[in-house]
Amino acid sequence: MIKFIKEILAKYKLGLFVNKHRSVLTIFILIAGILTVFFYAGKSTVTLSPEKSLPPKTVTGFIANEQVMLNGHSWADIEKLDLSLAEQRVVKARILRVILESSLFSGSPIIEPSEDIAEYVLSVDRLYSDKDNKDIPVFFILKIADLAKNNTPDFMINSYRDTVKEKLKEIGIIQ
Amino acid sequence: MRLKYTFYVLIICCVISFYTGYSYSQYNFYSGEEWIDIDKQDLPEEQKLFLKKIYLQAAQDSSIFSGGPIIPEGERDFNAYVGIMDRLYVQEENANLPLYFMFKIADMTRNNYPSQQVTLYRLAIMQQLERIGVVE
Repeated sequence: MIKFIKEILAKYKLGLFVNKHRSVLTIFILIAGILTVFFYAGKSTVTLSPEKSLPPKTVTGFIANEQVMLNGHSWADIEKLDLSLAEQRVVKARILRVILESSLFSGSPIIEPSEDIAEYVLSVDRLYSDKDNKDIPVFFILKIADLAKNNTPDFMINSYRDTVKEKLKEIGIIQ
Repeated sequence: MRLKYTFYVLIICCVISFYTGYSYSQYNFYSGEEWIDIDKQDLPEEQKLFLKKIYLQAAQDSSIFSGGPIIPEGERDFNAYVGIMDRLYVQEENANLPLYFMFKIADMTRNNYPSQQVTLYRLAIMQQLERIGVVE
C-alpha cells in the first residue's frame, strides 16, 4: 500500500508539491480538524432528552380540544399538559419530527431532514401566537417556519400562507 | 500554478461536502423508544393518551398533505390505534421501526389482515430501511 502511494506521488510529482506547500496544507488540515471537532461537539449538545433534570411539574386541569387537523389549538393544548417548559419543547420537537418523517416516507419531504428540527419549535410557537394562524395545520406552519428560516422574502411567505388558507377553506378544513 | 489552485479547490470541495452531505444513518427517526417513553413519564393516563394520539394525528395529517395517507383519510378515531401501537412497540423486533410504518402495521392489524401478510410487510420495510441505513 505504502509502495503504491509512493509510486503515485513520484509519478505525478505530488511529493514535490506537498513539500513546497507544506504550510498551506497543514493549515487546511488543521481547519478541517477543528471544524470536525466543533461539528461533533455541537451535535452532542443538541440532543433533547426528557430525562434531564427539569423543574417540578404543576398539576393543572387538562381538557384537550378535539381538532379536525393538528393546528394551533392542538399546539396550545400541549401547554396545558403537566409538563415543564423544557418537556413541552421536547414534545413539540417530536411532533415536528413525526410530521417531517411522515412527509418524507409519503414521498415529498416538507423540509430537509435535519437533526436541528428543535430549532423550529420557537418559530412555530411565534407563528401560532398570531391569531390568524391558529387554524392553519402544523404541517403548513412548519413549512412557513422553514421559509422564514431560509430568508424567503415576507411577501412570498404571506402569499404562501394566504394561498394555503384559501385552499383549506375551499376543502372545508378551516372556516 | 493551475494544479495548485485545482488542488486547493478540491480540498475546499471535500470539506464542504463533508459538512453538507446527508445520510439517513445520521437521522434518528421517531420509533418505539420514544413511544414507550411516554408511559414512563409521570403524567395522568388521559394526558399520556393525548400525547400518543397527537403523534398519530401528526403522522396522518402530514401523510395526507404529502399525498399518501397512512390510514384511510376519513378515519380520525386515533384511540383505536393507540392500544395496538402499544402492543406492537413492546415487541423487540419492532422497536426500531419508525412510527409511520408502525402506524400502517397497526392499521393492517386493526383491519384483520392475515398475520403472514403483516409479517411480510414488516420484513420488507425493515429490509428497505436497513438498505438506506435508517435501521441497523
